Amino acid sequence: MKLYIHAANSFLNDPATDISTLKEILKNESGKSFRRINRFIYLTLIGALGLAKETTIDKDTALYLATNYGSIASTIGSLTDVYEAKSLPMPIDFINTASNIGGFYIASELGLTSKNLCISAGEQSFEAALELAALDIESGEVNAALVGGVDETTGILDGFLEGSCWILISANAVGAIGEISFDETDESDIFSFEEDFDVSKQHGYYGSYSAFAVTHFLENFSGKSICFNKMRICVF
Amino acid sequence: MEALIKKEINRTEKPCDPRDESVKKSYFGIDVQMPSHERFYRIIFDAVTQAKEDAGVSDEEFASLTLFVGSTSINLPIYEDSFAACAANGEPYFEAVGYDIVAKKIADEFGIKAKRYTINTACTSSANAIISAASMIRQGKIKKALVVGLEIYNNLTLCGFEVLQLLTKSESKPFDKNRDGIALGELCSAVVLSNEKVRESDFEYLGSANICDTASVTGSDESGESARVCMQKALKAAGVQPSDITAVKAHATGSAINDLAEGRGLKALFGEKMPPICALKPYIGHTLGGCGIGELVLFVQCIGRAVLPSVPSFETMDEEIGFAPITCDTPVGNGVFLLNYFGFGGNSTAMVVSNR
Amino acid sequence: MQELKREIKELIAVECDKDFTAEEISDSEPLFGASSKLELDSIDALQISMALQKKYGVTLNDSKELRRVMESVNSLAEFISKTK
Repeated sequence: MKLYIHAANSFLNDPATDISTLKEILKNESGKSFRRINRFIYLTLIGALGLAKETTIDKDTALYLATNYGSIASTIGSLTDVYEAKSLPMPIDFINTASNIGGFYIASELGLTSKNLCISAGEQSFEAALELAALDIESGEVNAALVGGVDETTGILDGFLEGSCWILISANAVGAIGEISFDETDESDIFSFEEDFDVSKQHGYYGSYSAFAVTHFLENFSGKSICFNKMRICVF
Repeated sequence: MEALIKKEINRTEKPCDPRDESVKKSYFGIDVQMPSHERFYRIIFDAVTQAKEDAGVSDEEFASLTLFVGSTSINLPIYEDSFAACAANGEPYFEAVGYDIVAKKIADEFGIKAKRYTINTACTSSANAIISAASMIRQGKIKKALVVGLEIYNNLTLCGFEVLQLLTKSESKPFDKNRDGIALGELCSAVVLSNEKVRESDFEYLGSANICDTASVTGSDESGESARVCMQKALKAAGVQPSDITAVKAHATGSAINDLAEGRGLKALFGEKMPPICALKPYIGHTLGGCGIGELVLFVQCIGRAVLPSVPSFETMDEEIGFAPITCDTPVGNGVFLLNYFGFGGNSTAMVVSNR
Repeated sequence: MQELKREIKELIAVECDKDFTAEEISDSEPLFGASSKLELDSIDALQISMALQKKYGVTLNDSKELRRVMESVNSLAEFISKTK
């Protein structure tokens, strides 16, 4: 089965960056200010709305957000309130421990009327999200899908960048920038493709790093193809 | 927080913190003295083992099952214990474990080599897990799946719901005019999903829908339109009409807004021909991400015994909603059933199952 | 009292993640609802309530009291200075 990629967007960031910087970046990407959101949601929105800025996203596009570690800062913040300050958590912090809240804001912003999932499968979270998206497009349940990998690293996972990388896929080939085919037999590791595409060395990596590997590949390797986890990405 | 927990324990007759000393026999028949990390996995492994035995799956075949886990808090109960211990010593605690942790532990315990998927969409988590599994089976990608719904007691969740003023001061009263909030619960539930029946009485998954209600982050579209759309989509996917529905398992948390939205949605969908509306949260509490599988299992088991349980706490109809859930135990036979789930972040799922 | 009112405005700006200066909001204008400039909602109310508890040690017990106290910066300041 083949699906077509219509847009890609990468966002990698130094976790030491202050959240006010993320707020500015999001304002540039989306044209508006969001309030009462946390770092995880800032990352989510910067990546997804940054992609939306470059392309048309139909309202019946489904959303599949992949994450390895989920909403870290809010969880730690809330636990700190409960166990160190011995108080109830702050309401907004607690709400934002849920990793699907970012999906809510994207759906709200883009007027999405279709499926909205948050998936994790460890370091293959992005692949899992892609699989579920492909499944639903193949069955006809959804027409197009925004699939992204988002992870904080809170500066505690030393040397790793935080990131939010997204692609837009559908069964429609017209105007596509690349394609994905599934059920390949080649089990190559995306990180050993070639010297100048050693993602882990150049950029450090974050929890759902294969999302970055895919978007980076799409953005920089025109005419090339790569296999990983039994999927093949060809850039047109 | 101790005061909050004691308040919860005193308010309901059943304990909500099984680690409380005064509880002789905890939920799940597991010794309260067991360290929480052990207890946590004992509950999960017992549920999975029971599902495996009930489905008659051999060890070998079980190892090839694709695993889906749906949970809001995942391993938070254990995580917060470690956090608390470090906080008590004045040490910071952070361990990057990832949302996949429970699925991985289940896979390791049962020798499951196939892929794992953890779905984290608040109260629809395990409902979404099963509809993803069903989709994979239907499209011939896999033959069988193990789907687990999980929500184990943790202090953070209790404290969070308290600060959001979502907890009831009395009891969970779904759709009742005087409902005042949610009573939380904990559970672990597991199903084996397959492309063929094991028993004649096995239920069939017919279809589902999942959408996002964008009215408010913790609330719902009060007009009920979003809920109606979700249910309508599920019926369409299942190839059935509202008039085909034998009974509904409502989400019905007992919260002011959720019940209003869901109630209005049900009324708009079914009109004057409302099927019996069943609500299970007064029995087991709101088990958040676990309720997808937990309430599905409970519901089909009730139908298997030919009776839908009444909603014991319901007393007064809310005119804004305009109907009552079932107030006496209701006989039920073969039919087509609609199950609703609505969660934080507006995540909404409805699924249709049948035992015809 | 003026100092307290300024602090309250800063607290609201920070906790509710709203961009405004103390001068832009009067002490008496409504904070909540459609007719208000800030258009705060029930989640903001809960957030402010917790923040006040942490900063001033005051608690708001039920939603009725919460609504009354949070009408304006004036009512908040009055409540805090009375309760402390």
